[in-house]
This record gives sequence, structure tokens and C-alpha cells, in this order.
Amino acid sequence: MPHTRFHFGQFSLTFFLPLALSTGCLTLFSMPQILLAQGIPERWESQEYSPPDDIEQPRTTEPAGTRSLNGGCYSSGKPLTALLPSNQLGVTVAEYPTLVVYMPVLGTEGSTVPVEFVLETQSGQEVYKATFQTSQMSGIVTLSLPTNAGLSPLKIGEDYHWHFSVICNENERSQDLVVGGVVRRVELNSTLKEQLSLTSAKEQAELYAAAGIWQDAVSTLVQLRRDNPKDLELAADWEKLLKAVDLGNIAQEPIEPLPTTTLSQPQGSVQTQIEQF
Amino acid sequence: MIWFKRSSRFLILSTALTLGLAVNVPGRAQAELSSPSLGSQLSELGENVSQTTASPETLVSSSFTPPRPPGGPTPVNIISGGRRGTCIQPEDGLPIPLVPVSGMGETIAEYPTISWYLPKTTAEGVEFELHDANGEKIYSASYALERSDKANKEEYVEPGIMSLTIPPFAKIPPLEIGKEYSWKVKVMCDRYDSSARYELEGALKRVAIAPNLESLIQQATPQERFAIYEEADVWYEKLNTMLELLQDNPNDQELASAWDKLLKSVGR
Repeated sequence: MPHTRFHFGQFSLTFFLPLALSTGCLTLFSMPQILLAQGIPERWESQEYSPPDDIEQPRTTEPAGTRSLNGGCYSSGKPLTALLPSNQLGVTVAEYPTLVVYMPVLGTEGSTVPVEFVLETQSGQEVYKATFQTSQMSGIVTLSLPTNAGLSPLKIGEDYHWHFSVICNENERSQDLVVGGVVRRVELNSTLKEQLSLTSAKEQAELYAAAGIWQDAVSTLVQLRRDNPKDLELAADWEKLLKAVDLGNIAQEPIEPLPTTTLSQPQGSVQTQIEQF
Repeated sequence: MIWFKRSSRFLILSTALTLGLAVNVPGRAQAELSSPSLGSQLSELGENVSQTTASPETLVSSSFTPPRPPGGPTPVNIISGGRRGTCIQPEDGLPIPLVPVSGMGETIAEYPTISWYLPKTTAEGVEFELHDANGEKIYSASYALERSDKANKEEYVEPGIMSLTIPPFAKIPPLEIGKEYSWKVKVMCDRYDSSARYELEGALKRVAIAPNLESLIQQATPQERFAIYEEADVWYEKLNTMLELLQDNPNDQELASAWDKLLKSVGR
């Protein structure tokens, strides 16, 4: 907008410039701080949220780009990766956050591979554990916590450890491929809450990212990309978000598509509506 | 997330059970529901499905036989299993799987949602399992149950309906059309004593949906969807839609008071 005023004559410029400036100032003052910081950051620097001291580096035993054998797990290409900033800490405002990993093809084609997803308190008490068979496709996997099952919600201000294990040999769990990190639930401040309620899902993802709330930024974008696979703007946002945490190499990996029958899952959408009360 | 008052959510969810139990309700309580409001409309929906909903009486009779693998462990039905637990007071009732009387319901979902009712309890956790027809475990989840406000001296789990969806975006192979599956919920009284538990079971079969119905459903309101699912007799979607309706109308006082009355009238 501002550049158009140079197309006007001298008179118009003197007239419009103060107007434009004052309007700009007004907008600046009336806008909450958070909007000024909107957008996906170039670099992910979480000064506001520092990771806990006892954070463990997950055991990623698999070198990238090589074909390796680990128990029953044959794999090639990119390693199993948790989508997290380098400090392994994902901040969320959700009672039941969604965690995200990249899973390569592991094992022989046509077979299923058992995996385990565990969330526990800092003292090691298990809050949630899911074990299931996965099909042989590489791509982004979302690990959600059930919202209507009576599960104890994450407590504000507490750190939880999570890990996702690919079970290569059921009898020798030390051969598991494991990734994970820490998820911390923080209080949603009122300014951000108001902003979120007024924007589209795409802008919500950007607001979360700008506020350093990694877990909700990444899970909102995954869902948007799944729902709008041809949206190039979302693809660009996704790439930028992953590059900000040095995970640009998996930005092109497929996101698990929608099931063909989505009709029977009112829980998610209902929950969203209820949450807005 | 945090804006919704949890206790009221459970109350709302609990209301759905009422509708399922409507078959046991004396005429008096039924009549009180008959004013032309949303509450009564929902109750009518409930009456329509109540014939196939599990009620305490049907649980006592041993008519419920989900498919199970030959040679598998002998399942504990709710009554014998129910007596094993110590974390539900008899006056609070028993956990109830939300399944048809036969135990077997149909679903059209690749990743269905399964629901059960849990009365007030001091249980610590829940273990859920989904098995295929060969008895292979394809999905399991165990988790800690949310307790009532810690400020409250007596800490317990609020009664209500709990629902679990098999996660659709975790590379779990979708349920196959025409195949049967069974599920089990163990309500664990004690984290360290697996014998102190209640067990619930149910079964499901994934069925194909007619393409014309599929497009119809996509444009339908929840009420219309409910009618479609009822007509097609797909239990799990029917139940989910009813829960959805109840959640969407959380401030309906008539529903809340009807629940309360019905609870009393069925001795719960």
C-alpha cells in the first residue's frame, strides 16, 4: 500500500503522507503486540521457554542415508525423527496436545511394524501409552491423545516426557528405534487467546509459531496440509517452519492422507466447538 | 481446552446414557420429557435406539457373545469381572459398554469411535484393546484417568461416557470392510494390581456404505445424519451422532434434569 502514494502528484503526497502515517500509527497502537510478531519465524529460538535440565537425547541409532539392520528393522533413507526444535522441547497450550514424528519405511514390504507411543510425567509415571501395528509407508505420523476418553489432561507448567518407539524385535526391546522429547503445557495468555479466536486456522498456526508454541504450530499445520494438500502457501509455511528447526530435509515428506470415511468422527470437531465455550 | 467446564461436560455426556436407558423408565418420567423442545426431540431419538442399547438387565443375562479367537483366554463378562473390582460402590452402578444387545454393532468407519459408560469410581486407569477376528491385537491404549478437583477431599473420577477413536493418522491399517473386530476396556482399580479391575467388551464389523448415502451424509445436519444411520442401522455412527448432538446442546437444562430424574428412576 505505501508505495502507491508515489504515483500521486506533489500535492497528493503532502496530503496523503501525513494521513497514511497517522493511520499507520493508529494501527500500530491499537494492535496487540502479538500480531506484530506474526508469521513463521526464520529461526526457532525459544528464549521464552527453556528446556528442563534432565532432558534426554533420544537414542537414534540409525545413521541417515545408509541401509542398516537393527533387530528386525531394515531401513533406508532418512532416520526416524521427532518433529521438534533442537532443544527437544515442544510447548503447547492444549490439554491434549498432538505430537508429530517422521517415520521411514522400516522392515520388509507388506508386513506391519509394531510401534509404541508413551507419555509420562517428569517423575516417570506413565500417563498414556498406545501400542499399535503400522503399515509400511514413509511419512509424517501424528500421535494424538484422546480428548473424550477421560484421560488426565496435561497440567499447566509441567514437563512431560514422550517417546515413540519402533519395536524392531519384540523380545529384545533394547533394539527399538526411539525418538522423543519433552512437551510442556503453558497457559494461553488472554491476548493470544483473543487473536486465535478471530483468525483462520492458517493464521492460528502462524500465531502459535510466532509465540514459540511449537507443538500447536506444527500440529495445526499438519492438519491444514492434510486437509488442503494442494495449497502452496501452506506448503511454504510448512517448509519454513521445519527449516527454522533444521528439519528442512523432511519438509517434502508425505503427510498421511485423510481416511476415506471421515464421516464417523464427530469427536474432534465437536470437541473444538465445545472448547470455544 | 481449558475454557470448557469439565464437570458439565461429563454431565452432558452422561445424559446420553439416559437416552440409552430410556427403555427402563416408568411412564411418569417419560411423560415429563414430552414437551416439544430440543430435549424431548433428543429423548425421542433415544427411545428409538433404546431397544438395541445395552441396559443393566441385558448385561446380567448372558446374551452378549462377541466373537473371540479359539483357544484365547476365557473372557470375563461384566458381572463376574465387575465383582472383582473394588473401586466402584454398588450404589453407583456398573460400567456399561455402549453396544447393541447382541454385543456386535456395525460401523462404516476405517477408524471407528468406541464408547462406554463409567460410573463414579476411584479407578486409576483404563486399558483399551482392539483385536481382529484372529485375536491379533491391532491397537491398545492404557492411560491414567482424570480425577475430580484435588481440593475436594474425596478424589474420584466423575461418572460419564468415555469415547476413544482409533487414531486415523498414525499409519494404522484401516479396518477392513466385512471383517469383525472385538474390543475390550479394562477399568483398573489399582495401577499395581491388575486383578482389581472391571472388564467391558464389545464387537464391531466394518460395513460398506452406499455411495449415494455417503454424499447425503456429507451434506446432512447431525439430526439428519442420525436418521440416516438409524435407517442403515450402523450402530457406532448412530451413537456418535447422538453424543455429538448432546455435546452441541450443552446448556439444555431439560436434558440435565431429565438425566437426573432418569438416574433415580432406574435406581442409579
